[in-house]
Amino acid sequence: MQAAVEDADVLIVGAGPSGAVAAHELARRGFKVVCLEQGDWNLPDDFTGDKPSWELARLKQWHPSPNRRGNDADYPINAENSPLEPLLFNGVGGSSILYSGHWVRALPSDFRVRTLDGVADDWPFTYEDLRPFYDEVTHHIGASGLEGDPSYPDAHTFPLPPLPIGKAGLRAARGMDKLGWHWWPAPNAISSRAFRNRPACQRYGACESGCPAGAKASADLTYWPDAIAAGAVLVTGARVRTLTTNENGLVAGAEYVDRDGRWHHQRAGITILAANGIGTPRILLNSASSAHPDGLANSSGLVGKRLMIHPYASVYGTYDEDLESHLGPAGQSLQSLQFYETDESRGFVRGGKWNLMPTPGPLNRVLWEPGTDWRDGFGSSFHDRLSGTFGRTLEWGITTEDLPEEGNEVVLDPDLTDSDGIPAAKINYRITENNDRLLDFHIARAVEAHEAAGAVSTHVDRVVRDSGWHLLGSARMGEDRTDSVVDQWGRSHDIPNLFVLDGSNFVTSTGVNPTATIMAVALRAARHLADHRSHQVSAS
Amino acid sequence: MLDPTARERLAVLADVLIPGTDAFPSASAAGVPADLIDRVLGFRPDLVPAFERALDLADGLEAEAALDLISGAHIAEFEALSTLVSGAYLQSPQVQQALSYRPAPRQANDDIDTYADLLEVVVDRGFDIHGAELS
Repeated sequence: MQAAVEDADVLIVGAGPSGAVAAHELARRGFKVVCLEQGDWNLPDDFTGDKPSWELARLKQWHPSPNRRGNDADYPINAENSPLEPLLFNGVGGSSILYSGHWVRALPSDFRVRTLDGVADDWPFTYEDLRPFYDEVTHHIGASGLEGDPSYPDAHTFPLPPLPIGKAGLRAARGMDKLGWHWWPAPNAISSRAFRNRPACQRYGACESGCPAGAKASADLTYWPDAIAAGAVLVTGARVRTLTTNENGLVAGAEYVDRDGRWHHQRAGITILAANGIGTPRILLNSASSAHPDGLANSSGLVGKRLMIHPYASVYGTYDEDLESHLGPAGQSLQSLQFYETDESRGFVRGGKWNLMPTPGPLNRVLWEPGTDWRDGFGSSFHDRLSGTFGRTLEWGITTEDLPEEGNEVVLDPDLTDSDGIPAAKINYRITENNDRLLDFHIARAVEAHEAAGAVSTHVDRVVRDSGWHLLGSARMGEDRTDSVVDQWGRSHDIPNLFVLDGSNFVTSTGVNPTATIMAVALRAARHLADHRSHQVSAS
Repeated sequence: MLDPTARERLAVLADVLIPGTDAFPSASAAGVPADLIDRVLGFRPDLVPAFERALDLADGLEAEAALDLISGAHIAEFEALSTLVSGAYLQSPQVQQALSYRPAPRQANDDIDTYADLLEVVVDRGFDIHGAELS
């Protein structure tokens, strides 16, 4: 094996949102940073949202499931034992390349669910502790939104005004107004006006297959240029197999393979895993050795456990007028936290966040559902289905809080490997009883919301299989080393020069889209690491 | 590239899947079995084998019987056929015009004025924030 670059102060595995934040913070504070990313760069012109191929390409080449996409940079995930398909992207920017950019901070109660609701665990810090980091990241990435949402204790600001809610958002807002329910023009990690290196959104509605305008705040555009300018070295096409340890029990670096099949060892004083809620436990479990038979950093036995994915429901309403609901952003136009907080009279604890989304693209309206009679959507039905729904259909999407269960887990598949022969991950996941009740309640309310807005028909997809974007909790934070993997700064309890800074470290899932929280937590941890450098154990 | 026989077979199947109406052309009239199918096969080369198998399965059958057979027992083949035929159809400028589909780009204009009055009500109503005192 050979070293690709000289010894690093810090090695980061994964160039997604948390890796990008950490690389920027540590490089600008003088650390010699190397990041290994198994994917590559993508330019806005690589995406098809502004091209005739878009609707067909997003079903394959730009599908958010690595199993469906099957790119060279992707690794397979066995999801047979899960009603949710894990969705992620391997490349510079990570899953923010394909995320919808819902830029939502968690609420104060999310950090205190044990105290307030008697379930799961409190986080080792509070909303107030995290708030300055939410603010900093929000302004760095150029999020769009409107300050003053009463569902938060502070009137947090955005550097850009909200994106248009359009005819569709206004129609839905009037429905919420009739019911007296909370709604707000939604915060998005999408620029409503030109911001730094990004132009304004051009409303393609193709956010989830990569923004062709370069308006979405993906980490390749928001943090990596600054991190590289500060001296960080980003190595693409570098797939990590294992972390290595030295005679002192510290992590010495990582073994990785490049796209030509050559193996390398990257040494580093400190190693940060930022490889997402499946990739990170996979690497830790693949790093098992005689000294660490259950995998690295796993004395608690919780590496891979407590996986949370946020079961997601889509409640569609179809209206009797053209609402231009094919236009982006997608992105969210409205959000509602009306049923976010616990009300035990509903028969469950915690809640969910609603997002109003468009339904871009006509092809999506006419795809065949296997198992159905083709005459239901084709033949004499085809044109009614197409004309009756295209531009007239809105989605209230419901992200439901997923409480941690040890049985929901990431393990190594005994047979499946990636294209380099590295054991792949398998997820075992089931929806909890609390979440089942939560789903039913929220879906019924969302149908009411559409009806109040005048929908002529509604359609429910109770648990959307292709919705497993939020991969959380599989190497949780905590104060007690017997029931957590890392401390509040992301540092392993077992190995003091090993950190986990992606969504694996979540204690609970919250009920909102996690990227803002992932990045705020990563920034808080990286800043603490830099501030306390003189006390930090290093393998160098 | 499809041979003439495959193209003829496709035209028959596609017109049963997407017949014409007063407002919309049929699949054949929109050009699906001609250049549009070639275009979308180029977009999705991974679907070519299943699409060709679907056409083979239809050999010697009436169109509706063929579609019943394929959709009932050959899911991948019917998904390929129906997705590519629909995808090709929606490439047609004639179809997009009939659908009043004017795709982006559009400007992201500020429209706060259209909902500011509704939002005042939300603010006035307030929100029961749980746990703020524990922060």
